[in-house]
Amino acid sequence: MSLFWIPLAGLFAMDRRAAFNFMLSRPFVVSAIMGLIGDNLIWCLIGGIFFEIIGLMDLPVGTKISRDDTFGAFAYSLTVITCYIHSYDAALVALVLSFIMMLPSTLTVRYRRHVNAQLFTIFQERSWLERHEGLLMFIGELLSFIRGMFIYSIGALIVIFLYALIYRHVISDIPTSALILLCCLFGGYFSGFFQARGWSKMLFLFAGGAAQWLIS
Amino acid sequence: MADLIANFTLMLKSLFYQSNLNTINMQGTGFSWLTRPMLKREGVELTAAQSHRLYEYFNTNPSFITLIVGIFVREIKDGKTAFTTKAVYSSAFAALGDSFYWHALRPTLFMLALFVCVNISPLGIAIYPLIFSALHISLLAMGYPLGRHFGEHTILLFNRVKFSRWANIADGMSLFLLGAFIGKLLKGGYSEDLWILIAGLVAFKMGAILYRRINLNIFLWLLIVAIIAILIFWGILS
Repeated sequence: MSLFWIPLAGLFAMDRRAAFNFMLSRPFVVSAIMGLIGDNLIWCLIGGIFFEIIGLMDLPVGTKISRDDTFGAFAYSLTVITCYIHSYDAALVALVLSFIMMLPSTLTVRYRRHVNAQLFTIFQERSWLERHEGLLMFIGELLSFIRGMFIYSIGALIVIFLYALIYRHVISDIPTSALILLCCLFGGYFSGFFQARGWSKMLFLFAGGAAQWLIS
Repeated sequence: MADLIANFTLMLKSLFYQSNLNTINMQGTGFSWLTRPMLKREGVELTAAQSHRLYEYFNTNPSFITLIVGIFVREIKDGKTAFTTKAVYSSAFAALGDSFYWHALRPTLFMLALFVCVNISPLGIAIYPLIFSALHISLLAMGYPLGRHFGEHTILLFNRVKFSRWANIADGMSLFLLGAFIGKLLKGGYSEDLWILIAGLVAFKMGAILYRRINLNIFLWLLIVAIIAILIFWGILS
């Protein structure tokens, strides 16, 4: 694994909640950037789309901590690039492993909020808040960057390691039809997320499908 | 010119205001960090109690932060109930922002980027971060002057442009583009066999029904189990 990816992971983690909010941390964009750099765009994007849809449905409303889909896309894309994945079965193994590793990564988001709360309390107790507000904010950014660098890199390494262990035991020639049906099921679930109801929803979906059918 | 520089500085700082997001006051530290210099600029001296209250619980959509800072500064300068207004506006804009930015705009831009990527060029992916960032930064840049000018009446501005309805338009676009993506998949499958088209439509409908029956967590684990089952099943077959 090239060291180049480590600071990039830190930047993705910062963009996620601590800074910018430019959507560079969205799985679709993460996998595209990594796929372009790692010269394996299409296979990176497959996982990016999966994690993106998960993230879109898992809204960060209020105090809720949504799944760390950025990590999922990062770990998946790095596995694809490092292990030269060019088949559906290999991509699915990497996808499943990245999804499972996303859970501990999400826990560290919760932990970061607790660390921030501890820092806030320390600053408050020592009456540093008003004078050193900027410092507290800087430490927050730094923590977010460091969390991204360490957690994302270590998590991705674990995914790559597990992939190398597992993949040779699950070599299979999955038919495209099975994948299309899975995508349709996932797409149907995603369609429920939108507010339009009844006939208007059907109309939009059908119109889109028909338009694409005609132009492609 | 000084106003422009102050506004630009606030906009830049607002990109980092969530760095101390925590379990005690959420974005409260960030709100205080942004508001204090603006109050000083306006010549407002806070009492010790008011200064302490700046760190109260605060949570809103990040695109609306400068707007709320503007409203708060205007309210406190006018000697009104600024802290109540801040609490009300943070909730109101959180709801408005979540329903538009998170629930509607993100899916629409993702689907649009995917559509362009699949049909025209992979560079279409850039649509997603570029359009979102443009809207996000525009609102951050305009937020403070607007909030400062309109004060507690700012919400009327959003009502006038029917902001709450924008999400419905975005949802319609997302559904159209989702239909297009599924259409592309099914056409690819149809070229192999007719039954894939019918089975795909059934699977799509099943997914839509499942959305109403089970939550995302259970659905995702079922999907992961299904993927593992497919891998093992075809592994044995082949």
